[in-house]
Amino acid sequence: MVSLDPMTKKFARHTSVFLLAVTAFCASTDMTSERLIHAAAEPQNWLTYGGSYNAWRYSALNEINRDNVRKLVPVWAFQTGKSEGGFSCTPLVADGIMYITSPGNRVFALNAATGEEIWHYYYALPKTLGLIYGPVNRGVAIGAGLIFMGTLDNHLVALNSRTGQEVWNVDIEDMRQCGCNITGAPLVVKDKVLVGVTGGDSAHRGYINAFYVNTGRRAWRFWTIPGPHESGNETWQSGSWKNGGGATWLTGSFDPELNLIYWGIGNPAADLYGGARQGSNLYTDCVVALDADTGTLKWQYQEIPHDVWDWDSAYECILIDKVIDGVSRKLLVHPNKGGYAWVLDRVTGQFIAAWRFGENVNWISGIDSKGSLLGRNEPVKDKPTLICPSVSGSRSWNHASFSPQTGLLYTPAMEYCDVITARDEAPVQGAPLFGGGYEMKRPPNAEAGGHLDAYDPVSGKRQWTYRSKYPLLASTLATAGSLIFSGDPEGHFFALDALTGEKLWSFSTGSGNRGSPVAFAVNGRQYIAVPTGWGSAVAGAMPQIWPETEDFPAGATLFVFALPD
Amino acid sequence: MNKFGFTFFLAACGLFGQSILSAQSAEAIQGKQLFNASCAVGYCHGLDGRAGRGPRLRGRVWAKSYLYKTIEQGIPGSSMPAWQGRISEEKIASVVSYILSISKEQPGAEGERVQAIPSTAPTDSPGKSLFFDLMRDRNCSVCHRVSGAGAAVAAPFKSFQPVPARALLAKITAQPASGSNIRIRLAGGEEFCGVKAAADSQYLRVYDLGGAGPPVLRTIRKRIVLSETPCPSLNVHGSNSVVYSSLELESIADFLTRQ
Repeated sequence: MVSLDPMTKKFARHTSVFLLAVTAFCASTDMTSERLIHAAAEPQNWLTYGGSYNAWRYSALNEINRDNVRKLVPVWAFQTGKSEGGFSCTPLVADGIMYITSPGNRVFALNAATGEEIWHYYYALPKTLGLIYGPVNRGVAIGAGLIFMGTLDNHLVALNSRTGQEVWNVDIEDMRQCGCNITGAPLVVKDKVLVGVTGGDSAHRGYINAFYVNTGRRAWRFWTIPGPHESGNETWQSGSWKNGGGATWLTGSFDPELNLIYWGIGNPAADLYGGARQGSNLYTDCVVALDADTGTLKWQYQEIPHDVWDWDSAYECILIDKVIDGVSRKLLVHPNKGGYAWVLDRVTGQFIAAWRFGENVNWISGIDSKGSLLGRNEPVKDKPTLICPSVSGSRSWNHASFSPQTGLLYTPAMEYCDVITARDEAPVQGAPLFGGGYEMKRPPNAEAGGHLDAYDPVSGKRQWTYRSKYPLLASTLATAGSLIFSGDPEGHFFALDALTGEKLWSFSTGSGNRGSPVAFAVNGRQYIAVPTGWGSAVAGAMPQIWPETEDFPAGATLFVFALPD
Repeated sequence: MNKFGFTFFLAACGLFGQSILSAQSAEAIQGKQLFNASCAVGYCHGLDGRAGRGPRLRGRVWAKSYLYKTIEQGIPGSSMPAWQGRISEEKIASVVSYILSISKEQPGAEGERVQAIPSTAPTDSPGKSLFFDLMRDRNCSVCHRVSGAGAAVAAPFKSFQPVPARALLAKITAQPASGSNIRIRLAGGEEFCGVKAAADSQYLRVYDLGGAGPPVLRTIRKRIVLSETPCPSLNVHGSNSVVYSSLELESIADFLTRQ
């Protein structure tokens, strides 16, 4: 390493900022759909929410690897100043610029090598929100020189990626009326930007909207519950479709070859009581495949007909190709809150397999070879019933990752249960419609806690397990350095050996990890970034079992690590 | 008593005081039902105040005035809504009474089960549902704000005179003589009609009404605006005879006159 005098260093730093600014300008006109489609060819960047359209959360960078990860040190940190609800975003990195969001819809563009701010945008929120969703934000999307963010009052805004200035702003549906908003990251697909909505625990009818990136005009809208005279509406007891939930609160995937968008659809409302919505309740708890240009439904697969457990099927759709019985298959692997991961043929929607990653599961006894649920154990109206896992799920929304290097899928999990009492509640548009209450309980015959596991993504055969005292609520990141990064509620950000699960490195960040780490490089140097800051509904409820977690400090710090110079 | 002493006194009450659930007042029992129906829902304060997205309430010490203020006014910028006007003062008092009744308990103490849950939210009127009907792309709320809800593309309704529904209906269906309707031509060939929202020396902010979906508030550099002319053809209200039937418009008018 060449030693530089202080003045030279200062000049170099300023030069670096200048060059980065130039790069940012170029990127703002250069972030084409082709670049997004081929994001894997740019491992120095992290261009979409899932790292690439297949939602692998995998980085091909290997400068940091299992042989040297013990030397990893923090190189910069950034404070957003907003800690309520937890720091839950996935940073995006494009050509040396990082884009992050904080709770309360703040966006920051940062020099990815130094952490210096380039611009910020503070969205003007209404004085009163009063929604049961939020105030978190999980990140932005980038494309066509713009940065896109969904807001807590259900707007979608487009910002100039070079200046942060608002270019367009569309009010999707009034939050005061719908009781819904946006916490998930949008997804740019070709000339459109797609965004989902919360509202699955309210009297609301969900949707996915696609807007033209250049104008903000709506291109198409997919209702997650079919309307009258549409196929599937008959799966709802009369009138219940209007308030049936079906939120789309996370971010979908895209297969450019098939031109299909895949999105997980959330639970039906009321969550815990199905007596007023008899039927299978399409398309709740489905994976839907939509034509990327028109939003037309190509296929749907319902994992949980008539969900009465609040399982959602809203989590990430991981797209992998694998040879099964001698035939190359295009697959979609889909972890579900209920503790199972479904494996589907993403061309046809055909069921291939389902495997269990939750250890304490009693809501069904199993899933047969055709995908049918066996031995349903449903909450009972006005009578407490023990259900495992808890309504928070065998896993929260924080994402799994897939490494093509090991061929394994890495997902966090958590182990506790609920005593649920279902209730028949009258729906009022936009008001909460949960259909019952719950009290958290330790599993009857096992330890409460968390784990992070490596699985064969099709067979579900577990390769290793990393145990945690508390549920793990941070996403995982897989890298070509044969590493898995994640964090825990006590604030440890750690690296595991992707082949064995052995913990190789850990750094105390000072606040629980709830967000999604990413890898990137600037000028050939690899970095690992992680948002740290404890919070969220699941984190907030943990004191019911772990009283000490009530005192776990909040935070709002992005840490970035690298090997020493 | 200094602050420490006062805190200690309250903490001691919490540690040594016995559970008073059995001695809860009728008001607190009603408050418990309301709490578990409204405050414990979803991922909020948890059943019997055991914690969720919102903080744990049981087993803590609360000032009565703070509870009233927070419940009535909410916490700005947070998930905590204002309940004043949504439920009666008596019901708010009962929830306060209930929270105070559990504030002396330790976390994890068993509470009695609630069986019957009353609905606390107001019932939607047909006119209100139509006003906000998302299945109609050009529903009223995409431009108009009423009682704090809806978009602010058009001027908000400031006051509602109790006029006959039919008179209001005539106003709704009449084309407004608005000088803010403009046609924009941009360098590059794009052209659309919309409603001017604001302008400064460099930028024009305009609601683009050219798409089928909701209006889009666009911020456009003036230097790429080739022309800005009136747009008499922008007849949003005239098309409402297609968006809503006459009976539905009457229903909306009825809703508005009640605001």
